[in-house]
Amino acid sequence: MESAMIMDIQRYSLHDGPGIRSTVFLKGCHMSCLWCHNPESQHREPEMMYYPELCVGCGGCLGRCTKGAAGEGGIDVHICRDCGQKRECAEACPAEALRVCGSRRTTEEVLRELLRDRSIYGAEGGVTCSGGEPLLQAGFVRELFRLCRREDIGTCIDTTLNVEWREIESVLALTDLFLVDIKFMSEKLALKYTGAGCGRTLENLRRLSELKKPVYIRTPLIAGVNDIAPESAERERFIGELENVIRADSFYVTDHAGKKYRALQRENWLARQQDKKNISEKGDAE
Amino acid sequence: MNEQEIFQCVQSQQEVFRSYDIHIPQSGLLAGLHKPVFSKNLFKNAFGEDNVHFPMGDAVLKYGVQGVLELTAKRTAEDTEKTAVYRQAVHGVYIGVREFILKHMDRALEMKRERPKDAGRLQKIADNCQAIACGKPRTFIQALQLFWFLYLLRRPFGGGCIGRLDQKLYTFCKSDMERGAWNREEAMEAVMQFYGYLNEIRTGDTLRNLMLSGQDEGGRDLTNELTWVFLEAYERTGDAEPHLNVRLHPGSPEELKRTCVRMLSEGKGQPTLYFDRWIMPAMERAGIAHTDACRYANDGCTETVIDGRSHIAFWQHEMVKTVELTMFNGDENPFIYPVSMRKNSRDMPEFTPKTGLSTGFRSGNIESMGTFGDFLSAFKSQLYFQLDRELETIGRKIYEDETVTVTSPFLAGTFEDCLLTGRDPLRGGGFSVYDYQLLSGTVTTAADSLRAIEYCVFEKKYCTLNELREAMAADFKDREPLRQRLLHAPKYGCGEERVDELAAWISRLFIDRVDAYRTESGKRVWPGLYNIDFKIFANITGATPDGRRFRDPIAEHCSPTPGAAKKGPTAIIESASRLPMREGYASSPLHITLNKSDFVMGADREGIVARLIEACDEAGVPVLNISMYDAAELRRAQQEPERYKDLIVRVWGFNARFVELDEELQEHIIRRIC
Repeated sequence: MESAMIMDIQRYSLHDGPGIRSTVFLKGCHMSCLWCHNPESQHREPEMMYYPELCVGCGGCLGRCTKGAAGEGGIDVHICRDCGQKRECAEACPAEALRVCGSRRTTEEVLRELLRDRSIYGAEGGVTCSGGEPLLQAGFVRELFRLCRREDIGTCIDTTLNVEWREIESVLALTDLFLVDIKFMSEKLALKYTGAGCGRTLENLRRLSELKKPVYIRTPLIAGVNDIAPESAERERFIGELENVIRADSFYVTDHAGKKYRALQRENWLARQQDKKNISEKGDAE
Repeated sequence: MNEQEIFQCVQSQQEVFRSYDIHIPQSGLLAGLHKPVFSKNLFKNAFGEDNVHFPMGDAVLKYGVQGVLELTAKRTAEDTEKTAVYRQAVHGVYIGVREFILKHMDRALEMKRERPKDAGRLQKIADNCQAIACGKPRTFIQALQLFWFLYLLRRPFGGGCIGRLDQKLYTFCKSDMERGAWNREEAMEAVMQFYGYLNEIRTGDTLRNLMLSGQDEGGRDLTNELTWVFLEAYERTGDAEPHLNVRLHPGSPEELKRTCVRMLSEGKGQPTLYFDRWIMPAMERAGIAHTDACRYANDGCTETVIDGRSHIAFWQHEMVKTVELTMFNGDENPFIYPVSMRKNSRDMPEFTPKTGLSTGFRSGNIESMGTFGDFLSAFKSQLYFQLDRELETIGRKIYEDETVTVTSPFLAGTFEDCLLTGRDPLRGGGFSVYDYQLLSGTVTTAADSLRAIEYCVFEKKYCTLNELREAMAADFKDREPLRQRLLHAPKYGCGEERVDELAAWISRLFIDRVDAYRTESGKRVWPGLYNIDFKIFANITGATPDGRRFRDPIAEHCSPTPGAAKKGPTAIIESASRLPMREGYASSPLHITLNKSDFVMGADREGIVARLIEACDEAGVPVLNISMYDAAELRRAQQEPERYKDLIVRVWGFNARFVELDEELQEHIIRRIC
């Protein structure tokens, strides 16, 4: 039986494909988009997250931590990274200010959760695998989707498509719908902002189009970066050439993952951009 | 009530009728509107027993006011002293009713002389008044006009249950159609005027429930032209009143379901849905005849009544407080202090509620409880003690109704059996189905509390029972880490099997105990998993083992404790499916409050609402209310109430303007959003 590193299973998911869905978030991504709204999905291994606003100051973690991560000023989650006792420390926190993100779960365990809403999905809804990049754990997705098919549950995958074609091919027949972000048309910009090129994504999208595999395109817009020419025009032309697009949405990325960046103690690029903008606007005003 | 008292009542009632304004509108055909009058003394003197929580009978629509007067004019050979007096009382009151209607006719004619341009409309109003005062209503507009006059006269505060008006008035609509005289637009305008008047008088906890559709004795669907008119009129007006309800069953037309979905997707929590296939069989299992069950409607809130055949009286059990009494061995949490509060609306008077439970029953000292099973046994004995006392109280009321209570002669006149026999509706004159209910919602917060004890004390051993009781007695002051453990224990509404099982266990204990009760005359009490006083309960129940502090919200009905449903509405439905909701036929509603701001990025709002409704029906939910708010919008409405007067929200058995609710209820509603 396959297992995967799972970040979360979200029920009543309305934005990961049509209808009412349950979304399985697989942990681990080979890209590093600066605005990533699921920063805890990037690393493959379980991570400690610390929400200082929830801490009630009971000191439970101080008594539990053996690595010196817990101090009067809070937790340094970077120290927790290689620690094998994350879960014990998280359990010591009554307020769940300390949480471990990620656990290894088998397809059977995940399916059991998904079946809770079996009668609610209906013909429209179903299950979505998202992430991270779910196709980095394609074997798990394949087996899970096969089980879903057996239960007559619709399947959808939210992917960067920035993987080898064979990984896509391995789930192709079992997947009803692909959700794909087109972040960039220019290789240079893609490398700068996502840590990976975009050529393979575009190429794989073309192949899905040739196979008439249904796709939703979703474009995260970053003001002044990919919402201007030539990016926007090229993107529009590219989407126009595809023959399998059921719907195409675009949305400006916003800093709604700020709390998670703080909990991971990682730099929040979007927030920094916003600060810069505010400072410069203030400067202009003065 | 003796003869003299009855006639005092009749006299006072006529006096009250005479004091009302005579209102002929500037446009439209529906006459009659007066400002609400509130006076306890006036109610006592002028009206007999009528809590206005149930629909009036249909006899006046059938016989007309004149017919009522004729039927009650003379003593019959079968009359006893009592029935003769009662008949006379009804007669006296309906003389006042006729006078009230004729005054409207006079005023309309008077206005006609002053405004020749508007003569046609005013003559129509006068004709309608004359027709219903001196004969039987012949057209839909006349029937609606008669209903409206009766509705206004029933209680001076302008509130009261409406019932199945699409069924009550359909015979008139049908006869209009058969004569080729049905004017849909005119009917629509009159209905919109009726709704407009309701909103003008007042909004909120007004008991104005309008129940639509349903099925007949052969299972045939009863959706008719008026069902559509009443729904469309609401879609066109969209204000807080009336409170709409629709009965659905497997034979309901798809278009009716689609209309409900479309309206619910507006987010105002209108209409509330009643599923016949769960409610009717439970009523029938409890001995209510199929022909009666087919006629069910809801009362002023969500409780069920048999339209035209029953009254209603209900009592509420404090389930969460029962957990408190178990914890403190029959005493209240010592931390509790008297709280002055308003029932729901900002303009209501303040009062200081107290528990209705009896303290002092020693269900067991927690020091001697070694297992969770011991605690459950103590809870069960505390619950049975309290329920048995409450059932006795209800039994006493039933006995009173069987012997001495005198129903308002005005109300009695709307029941055919009373007109024919002169009997009080309570004793053979109309209420052929008795409807006494004991209700307990809040089972879900009670279950959260029991599960927190099991999880935190007996499984994880975060504290002892004693330490937990001490923390509760301190309202968790300086015990925040423990409170956090309790707050993070599994909660109902998240699809967690064990806590849901506990909620089901509590519900069954309650329903079975109520079901098993019989009065000396063999009457049953109807059980329901429902509460209207959850806000009062929050203000009289100290800290609870689920981490809730004194005065924090308690769940309503079969819904999760506000803030506890962390996994969305599908998990709430999963939890609810484990409750014996369909056995609580006095009403066991589920409220689902969706987050309006979730419906972005192409999320198909109507499709999703439709799926949730179907899923609830499949899960055995008998009564469902789905509303949809945006928490940020509600917060803005709190800051700038004058800009959000049209924001309608669901409260318990009613919908209201959000900005008119008191702050505690506003917070409760914001925390429900999942």
